[in-house]
Amino acid sequence: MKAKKYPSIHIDSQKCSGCRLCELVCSTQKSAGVTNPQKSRIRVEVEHRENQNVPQVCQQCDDPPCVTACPVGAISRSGFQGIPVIDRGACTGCEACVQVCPYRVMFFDREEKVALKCDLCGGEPECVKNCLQGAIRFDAKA
Amino acid sequence: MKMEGYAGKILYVNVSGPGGNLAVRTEPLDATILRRLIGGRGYGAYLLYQLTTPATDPFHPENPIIFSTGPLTGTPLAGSKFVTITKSPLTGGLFLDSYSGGEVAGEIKFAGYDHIVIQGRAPRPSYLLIDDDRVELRDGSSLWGKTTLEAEAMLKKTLGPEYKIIVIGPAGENGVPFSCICTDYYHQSGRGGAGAVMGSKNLKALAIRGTRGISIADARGLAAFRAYLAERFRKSQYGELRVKYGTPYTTVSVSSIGVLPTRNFQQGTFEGIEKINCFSMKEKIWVSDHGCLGCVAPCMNFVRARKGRVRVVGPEYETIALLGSNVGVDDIERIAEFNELCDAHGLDTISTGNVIAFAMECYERGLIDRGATGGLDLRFGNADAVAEMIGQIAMRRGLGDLLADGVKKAAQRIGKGSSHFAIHVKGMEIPGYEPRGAFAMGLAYATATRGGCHRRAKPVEIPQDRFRYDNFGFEGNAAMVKKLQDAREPIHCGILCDALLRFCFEAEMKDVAQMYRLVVGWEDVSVPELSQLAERIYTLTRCFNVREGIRRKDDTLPPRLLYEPLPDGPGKGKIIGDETFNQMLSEYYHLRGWDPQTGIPTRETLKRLELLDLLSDWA
Repeated sequence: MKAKKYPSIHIDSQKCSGCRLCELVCSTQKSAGVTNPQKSRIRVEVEHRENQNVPQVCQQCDDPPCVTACPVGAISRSGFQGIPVIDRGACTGCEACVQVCPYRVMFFDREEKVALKCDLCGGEPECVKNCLQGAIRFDAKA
Repeated sequence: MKMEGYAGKILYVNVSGPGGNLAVRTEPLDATILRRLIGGRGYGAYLLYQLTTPATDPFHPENPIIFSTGPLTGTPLAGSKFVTITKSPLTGGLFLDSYSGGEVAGEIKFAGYDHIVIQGRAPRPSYLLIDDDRVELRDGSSLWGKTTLEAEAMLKKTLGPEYKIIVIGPAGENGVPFSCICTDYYHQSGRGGAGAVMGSKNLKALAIRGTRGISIADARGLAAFRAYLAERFRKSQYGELRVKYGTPYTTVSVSSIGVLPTRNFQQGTFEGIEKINCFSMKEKIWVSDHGCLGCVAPCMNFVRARKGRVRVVGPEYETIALLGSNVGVDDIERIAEFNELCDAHGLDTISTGNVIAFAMECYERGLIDRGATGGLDLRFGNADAVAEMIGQIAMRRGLGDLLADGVKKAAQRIGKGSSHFAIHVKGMEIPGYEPRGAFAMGLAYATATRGGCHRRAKPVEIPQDRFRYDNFGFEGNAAMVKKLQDAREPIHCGILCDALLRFCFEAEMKDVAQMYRLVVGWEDVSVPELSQLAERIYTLTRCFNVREGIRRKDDTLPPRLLYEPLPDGPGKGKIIGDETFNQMLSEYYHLRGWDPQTGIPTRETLKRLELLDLLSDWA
């Protein structure tokens, strides 16, 4: 597999227990001490009956379609080691980025009408720290 | 007063409001009593006390079914639970609290509610949709008659996967008083018949979705505390075994001390244990680990059995004991199958295994014949017969109809002395711990508010350095049982998973107090305050039962467990007997501040625990 340009969170869904603690800690970290999975930048698709738990989070694409899709330039490569991040003030909530994301991991905050994207917590992702199953792992190499 | 962590509201729904319409209202939590009751079991017990009288039949529309959470539920701390509170049809209307993990607990909070109170009876089979403030009663006729697994899948397909589902099976529809409530396919409010109460309301399911947040008083502090908690969980011996094997690890400890119910509590050891213990489970059927919302030590086992035909999370220890050794079945794959059958039909595996074992003993002793069993050879060990009986009980067919009312009533109907070995307390079937090998367990059963239950105190295999107690006498047992019961209360008000206590908090409240400080913002909450809260809640639920007529004479054990010696294991030849039992019970009442003659909490006790003004009709 071709080496990726940017750091990202790697997923091993086989190890995921479906507890969604990552969602709880992500939202608490990112929305000033309010726990709300609807505001999490990582989501786990839990299919109890099929025994599938699949964490979903931004893959930090080499060539991110969200950046080009944003009509107002609210997504720029100004985050940790050049990963794209969203300027919440500039985001108009048009959801163009949500539409184009190939992994369907650009989420949307319906309350505040802004897109939600993983920013890797400045290189120390809170979700990874809290996943005792080892289902998500931070790959720091650029 | 600070009340971070709370959603702040109670949702009241009457499914047969004026003119057959849905009546919906919300009320804020009563801040003046919040610190005295917290939430979950505490606040929920208070609501049930206020909303019912002894005249309220469990199946009457006015009997509320209450889904309660607490301020810790849904926060990033540990596994979340909710509790179903209602008057139990299994125990004739006594207090029932039955807990469930999974994802629903958090979703109730995210929808903006701490408690959901449902009363009334819908005019036709229905389900309740709760989407934040939107509450609708919808037609559920296509769901009626479906298994829990089918109905949940149908609802998820119709509404979307983000809806979390609470659902009953055919057993709940058919009024089986030990039918459970299922959530997230594989989690149950298992005990005491809450499923039948829901069924009596013509309510097949609740579908809940929420977008609200839960504010945390000190999120940074909570993150550090969570890391500390997770570390202690995972590094403790209990924690490691819990994650690796889940509750089935209990098969090892109960076997070593000879308290594994076998063949309807006729023995305390089982010759086939090697084939059904946790190692066998892990080797033969285990696929992967699962955790409830927010859990840092996922203990559930997803298993496949019988060539992939059976897919279930389980079997938990109690299922292995009651639908394994207690019915004489030594095949872990068949036990997994029984587990899935019970889940699908919406039956509590504990009561189901107990009542089938009772029927098997009746059959082997010639008290019921092949005519009564519909031709089934209902011997211990006949796995096909067990599978057949599970379906019959849920559908109330044949002998199943007789067993479906619980072991107490089944024994009354069969007669011929069978009540001697009907293994229940107050009508609730006893779970997987033989008290004759650990006398304190007998006291725990006799004094658990919901009946024969191990979830308020489990005084087996308690390290001797924590408590001085006597497995075959009375000394120290009452104090231990009380302390173990009290230890769970602040967690059951929280509500988080009480397995927390098992790992590192056995009878400690220091860390629980810290949780309330960090989440709710009660800076000054102390261990003495929580200890008093624990006593208050336990006595509050006792008061509920006293109002229903429960007295000292009802706090007892079935004759077999009280008067027969255990034939095998370390407890061989031991008899609990009236004298030892009464010594334990008297000491227990003394410690609780309940009258030794009647078992009624004294007025001084109610005053000390600040309960008097909460019990509006207390004489």
